[in-house]
Amino acid sequence: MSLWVDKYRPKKLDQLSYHNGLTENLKALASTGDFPHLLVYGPPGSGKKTRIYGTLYELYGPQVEKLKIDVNTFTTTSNRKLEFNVLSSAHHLEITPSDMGNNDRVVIQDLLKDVASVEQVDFSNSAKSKSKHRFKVVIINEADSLSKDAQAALRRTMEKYSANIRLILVSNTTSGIIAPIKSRTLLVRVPAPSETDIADILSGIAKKEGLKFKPDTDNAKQELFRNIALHSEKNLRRTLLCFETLSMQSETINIDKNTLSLVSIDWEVIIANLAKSIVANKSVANIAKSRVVLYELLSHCIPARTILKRLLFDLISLNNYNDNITQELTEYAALFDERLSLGQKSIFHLEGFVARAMLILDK
Amino acid sequence: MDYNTESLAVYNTTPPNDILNANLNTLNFDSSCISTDILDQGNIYEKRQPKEYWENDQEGKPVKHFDGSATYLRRRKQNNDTLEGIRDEISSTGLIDMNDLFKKVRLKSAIRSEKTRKRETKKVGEKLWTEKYCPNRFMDLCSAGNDKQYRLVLHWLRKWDPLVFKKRPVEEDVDFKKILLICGPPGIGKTVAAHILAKQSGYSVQEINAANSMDKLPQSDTPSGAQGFANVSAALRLKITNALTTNSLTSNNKPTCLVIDEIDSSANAGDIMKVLYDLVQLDRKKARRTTKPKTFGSKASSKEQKKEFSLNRPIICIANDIYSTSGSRFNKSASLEKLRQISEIISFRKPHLAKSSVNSKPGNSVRSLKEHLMVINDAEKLGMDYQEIGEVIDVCEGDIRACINYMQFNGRKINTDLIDPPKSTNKSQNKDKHMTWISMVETLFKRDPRLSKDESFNYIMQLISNGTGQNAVNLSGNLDKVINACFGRYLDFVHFQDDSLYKPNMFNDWLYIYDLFSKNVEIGEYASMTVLKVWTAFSDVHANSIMREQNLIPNHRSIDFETYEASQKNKSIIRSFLDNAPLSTRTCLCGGISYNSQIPMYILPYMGMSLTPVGWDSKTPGSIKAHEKIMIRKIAKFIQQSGIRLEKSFDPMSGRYNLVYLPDFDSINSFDNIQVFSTRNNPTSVQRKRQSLFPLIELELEKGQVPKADPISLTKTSLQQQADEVPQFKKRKTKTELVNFFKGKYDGVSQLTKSDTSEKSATGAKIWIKYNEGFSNAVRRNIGWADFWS
Amino acid sequence: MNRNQRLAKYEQERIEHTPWVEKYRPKNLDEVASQEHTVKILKKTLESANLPHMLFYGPPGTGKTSTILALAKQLYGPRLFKSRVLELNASDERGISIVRQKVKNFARLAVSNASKEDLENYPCPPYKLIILDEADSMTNDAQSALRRTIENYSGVTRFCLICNYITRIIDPLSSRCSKFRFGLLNNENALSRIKYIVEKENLNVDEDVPETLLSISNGDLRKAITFLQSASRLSFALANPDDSEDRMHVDEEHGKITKSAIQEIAGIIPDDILKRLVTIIEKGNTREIFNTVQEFILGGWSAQQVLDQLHDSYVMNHSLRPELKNKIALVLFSSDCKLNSGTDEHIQLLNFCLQVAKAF
Repeated sequence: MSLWVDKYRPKKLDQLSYHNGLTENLKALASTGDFPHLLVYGPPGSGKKTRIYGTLYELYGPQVEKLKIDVNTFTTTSNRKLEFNVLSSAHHLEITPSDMGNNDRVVIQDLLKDVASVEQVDFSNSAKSKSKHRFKVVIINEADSLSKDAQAALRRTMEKYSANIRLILVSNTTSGIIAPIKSRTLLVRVPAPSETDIADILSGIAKKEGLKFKPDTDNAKQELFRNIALHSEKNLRRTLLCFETLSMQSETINIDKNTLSLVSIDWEVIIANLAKSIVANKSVANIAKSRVVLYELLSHCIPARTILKRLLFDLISLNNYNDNITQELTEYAALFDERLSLGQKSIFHLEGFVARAMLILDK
Repeated sequence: MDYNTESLAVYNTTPPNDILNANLNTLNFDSSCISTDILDQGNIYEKRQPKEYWENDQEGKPVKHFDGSATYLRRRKQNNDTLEGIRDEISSTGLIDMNDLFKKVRLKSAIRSEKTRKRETKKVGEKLWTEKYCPNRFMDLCSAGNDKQYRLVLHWLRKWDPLVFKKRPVEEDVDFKKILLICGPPGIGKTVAAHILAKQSGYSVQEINAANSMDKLPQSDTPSGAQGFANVSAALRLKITNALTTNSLTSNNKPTCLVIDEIDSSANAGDIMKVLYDLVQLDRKKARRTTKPKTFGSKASSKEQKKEFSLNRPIICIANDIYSTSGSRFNKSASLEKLRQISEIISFRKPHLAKSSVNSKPGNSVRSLKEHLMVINDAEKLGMDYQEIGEVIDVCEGDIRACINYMQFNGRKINTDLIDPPKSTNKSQNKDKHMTWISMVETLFKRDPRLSKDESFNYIMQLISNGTGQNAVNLSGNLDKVINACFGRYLDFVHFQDDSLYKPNMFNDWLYIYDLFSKNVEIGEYASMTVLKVWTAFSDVHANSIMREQNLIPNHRSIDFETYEASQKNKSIIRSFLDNAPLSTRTCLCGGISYNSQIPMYILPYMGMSLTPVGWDSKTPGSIKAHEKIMIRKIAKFIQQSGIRLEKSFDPMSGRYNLVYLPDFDSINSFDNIQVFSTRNNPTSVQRKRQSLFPLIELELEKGQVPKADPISLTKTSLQQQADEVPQFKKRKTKTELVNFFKGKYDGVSQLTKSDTSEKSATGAKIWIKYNEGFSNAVRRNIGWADFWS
Repeated sequence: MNRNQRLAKYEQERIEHTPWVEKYRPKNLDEVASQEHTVKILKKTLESANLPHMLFYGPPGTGKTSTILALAKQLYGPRLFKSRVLELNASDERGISIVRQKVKNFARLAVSNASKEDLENYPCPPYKLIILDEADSMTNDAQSALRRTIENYSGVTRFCLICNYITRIIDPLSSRCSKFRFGLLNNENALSRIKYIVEKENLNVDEDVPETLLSISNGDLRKAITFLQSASRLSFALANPDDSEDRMHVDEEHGKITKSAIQEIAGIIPDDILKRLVTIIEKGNTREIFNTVQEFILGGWSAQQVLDQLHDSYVMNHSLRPELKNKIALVLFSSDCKLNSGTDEHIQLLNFCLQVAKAF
């Protein structure tokens, strides 16, 4: 079994089913000999990488599918060895700056210089016009987590080696990216797919996999698909995983209210329960209990920021979008969010938010 | 025999004949209240009551070994009258009077300690206490909550017996991991335990550690380049193999046991690990070849035989942090990741942490540590009492070595600190001494009713800014610990005082200030002001009683660290999961190929649900429906591709076998400590499902193995690993047998576990002696196995 | 295809691939858009062939690098340029060790002899030029190390530091240089430059595109040009998906560059969507705001961008009371500040919208 995320991932731009305008643009770009630096941004699971790989396929043909992982070693100025993964094919390579920690600037400079200094010269098969592109593509994941230093270093590099390298920066938002980079790249926004888009994809898969539903009506199915989409925050990757999991649970998928609770994720349930307990019981003892819960969540690698966000949204909806409460809660959430990024001990700030929320709700 | 229960079973190992004799000669039979259980190929039978020993013969007693050879146990001449009496009693009732035994043992130890004291006094100068009181017998080991671990180490060492001491034809056990990896925080006696236990089992210990592994390498000759690298690892390899094969003269003909200390921090850890890994692989290859029917031409095999190497001495590796990411994360050969896979892992714990775990009685471990320290205390006449020693342990956070050091160098200082409440310290301020962070915390929460608010504020202020407490709240000092302790405690105080929500909010702002300031060295000194706030906000006259009461957060001392450890462990699990997964899956799952927070958040939970479906019920093989077959096939294929392994892991805490997927992403998905209202993921139901599911998957995997049509190269090795790691299933090679076996499995969960344990013991224990059911430290302390042996 | 042809083709391709920013970099001082004052002074130095140490500062895209490069070219001519000018920027390693070695070594070198031909055509002053681009990202240590270097070798070497923020240049350095401030380009000059490029590239643009470009780029000419190039590539590609070979012979009918295309490329939120957000905030229904914000986030819009554009729309809106504007500005400031420290966009944007709604 390859996962459905894998199995039903479009390999070519033509196979993509939504954001057609965007796909057209990419295709057009790929079909010309020229290709600017790109900054692809959008929420997680909206299909950024799929589009990029589709574009690469368009550019270079099936060769880009032959991927391999190299471990590059880099010696920093302080003589420490640093290792990071590079995913590459014959025509592109892909790096994730978070692998490199503080040294991302030096590493990226070095790597790009390396790549740039070797021009892709293959006159041998210049007859086949597929490989007419002289440049290599470098994909940088999570570009917003690049340090400012590294981004500054990128700006000249982008101009200097523009003959040999095309950069594709991938990030969730453009906020973390400095203006000079934004001005040097073609911004490609990939919004999350709409519910209908997702529902279409899911029903296509359901047909191919021969899934059985009960009741087996189109309306019910559409309803289910939409619910899955909403449940997974329109994150297509999550949607597919969720749907697949659902299909694994039993032979036929019973469509009713409880369907989705089958595949609810524990930590989300825990946060929801935490929110409930905050509303119900505003006491010091409950703060202590919440702390234990928060620790548990953190130990399961749930990012502190995600906990804060979910908690806030759960609290807001529990209070039925009450104007004052929502406004005040959000104000403090914003504050503690900032503290989370400035400080290091996330447990302090998460507990701080819990305590503050209790105080707000207590009024 | 069930060694999972809480009983304390000391494993008698079966050393080679000569050693056995040597040992038996010194063994004083009279004092043994042993009921000897001899296990033979899984059949347990109680041998004889000790009574028979004495009646049988006067000359000597033949003992048959499993390989058929016999040795004679000779009785030692008795010269002690009191012991005679005991023996009589034994012979009459078959039991012994514990009190008498105690008396005798005490007498003996008194004599011995007298001797040692005499010896000690002759020595000039003082040794470090950590060395002076370094245990050199099994009985001196401070259990500190690690008894079970000691036993596991012994158990592992004993598995070597057939191989090392050649007592019977070597039966290759595929399950047997030939490297032992001991991990745990510093200062809890890992190295000491490894040495003692190895000695106990009749080995002489050769140690390689970070310090001495480097010096003999010919690195200076070829300092750089590939050649240099090759030389380093070659030299290391030589060194290790030498250590493994030679019997040095000094070791009294005992076989060597290689102990590699500090494997995670040594500079060429990568090389060591590579060498170890290669050795194990070589060994495995050989083992496989011998077990396989020989289909090769004899020429080829004879040629290979020369080069063949088999690992026939135990290797024990010791590391602090087996999930260490400080080294190279990605290069698998250099990280402990690789080693983890090929080695048996036993993790030692701090007494502190052991306390918080669910199953063991709280305090036992700490108590044993206290007793251990008390012995030193008495010997050195420090005059500390139990409570003070408890404080020492707290200060050092359960690090035994640190405790002993502390006792040696701070001696009575801590005493005055702790005995005198702040009021008297107030008077003797000019005394030159440092406050420990733990007493700092206590001071902060206390309020002296006799002083006015201003006075005591000034006192605290002075204490922090330039008094004795300065080092405790200095950034370079223990401020972090102080703040954490305050954070752990303050809710109790608020709860006690006014139970309002206002104070936690206010204090959280201060914590933020601390968090922010402590990052910046220039303004770092202001961070200690948070400590002052603790005093103004929470200090209470009744501090002592509040502290003693049940805390709102039971394990507030260790929870922060535990969380950190758990998250590190989970991260490493995710990494190893990613490393195994095929590339296309990797790129699909997380966009990039590296760690990504999406994985623990969404992907692994869904994966867990898919691999252990909710709708699955325990079924007999007949009733599997068509779609379920498809499902199993799907799961099996996925497992195969992503290099997931099925494993039966033994949980020493609960004494149960768990069926898990490896890498073990259960630990990421399941929240054991929090009640989730859905029963879906509770561990027991998952286990029940897996018990019926796993055999089917196994079956499916076996099937998949035959055609070998799978294009992914990875599967072959991973399957091989499976073969190594799932011996319970593997032993039955042919399919029909498999099916029968699994049919048997469906009959009941209880039967399953029973058969497992019996199998386990069949491969393992030969003799063990159980002398004390239950878990009382008091008894265990005083009646000593070591006393019998010496 | 013989070798020469191939090389020629390659060369042509290479030119095509160069960004317009490079392609339309001013070749001489006259071409530098705007910055008349600076240009005037520099021209004088050109005549006298005596150059002070210089420090150029000003916002990005105002022509600092272009100016110095143009000047250098005019001083030395293309051949001598290589041996006489050293350009270092942030993408090069510029720690203290580099300043100590590379810069010093270059500065120390004797001036290479100019050929006769060059001497006839160019002033060829007897000193070298070191251009330190993006000097404000040099460490303080490196800058201090530069102090003595500048003084010691002033006989044979001139320095030109370029930076965005003069405050980040240590005082001893800036006092050694004559400072030139590069202000934001005024619209006319920039507009004419854009129009020049449009004309040269034979682009088919809407009337309002140059203005849109300028307003989006805020006087940053490089940004404007890059956007223009991106847009032209996109629209061109859309128009001729198949025959990319003969792109030099495109006819007039190829894709027209529109305002919305430019906006999309620049990541600007279209006016109508923004307007919806503004009205919803004004209405102040919490649930509605919550949902709209979620929509924005899922749509992939960056919170920073939303804030920027909301800022414009609120501050420029003259119908708002001053106190209200004041309040909104405060909220804007704090949200922007929090976003800058890398916080969660969703929470911050939600907070901002709710705060503004409350202020109304």
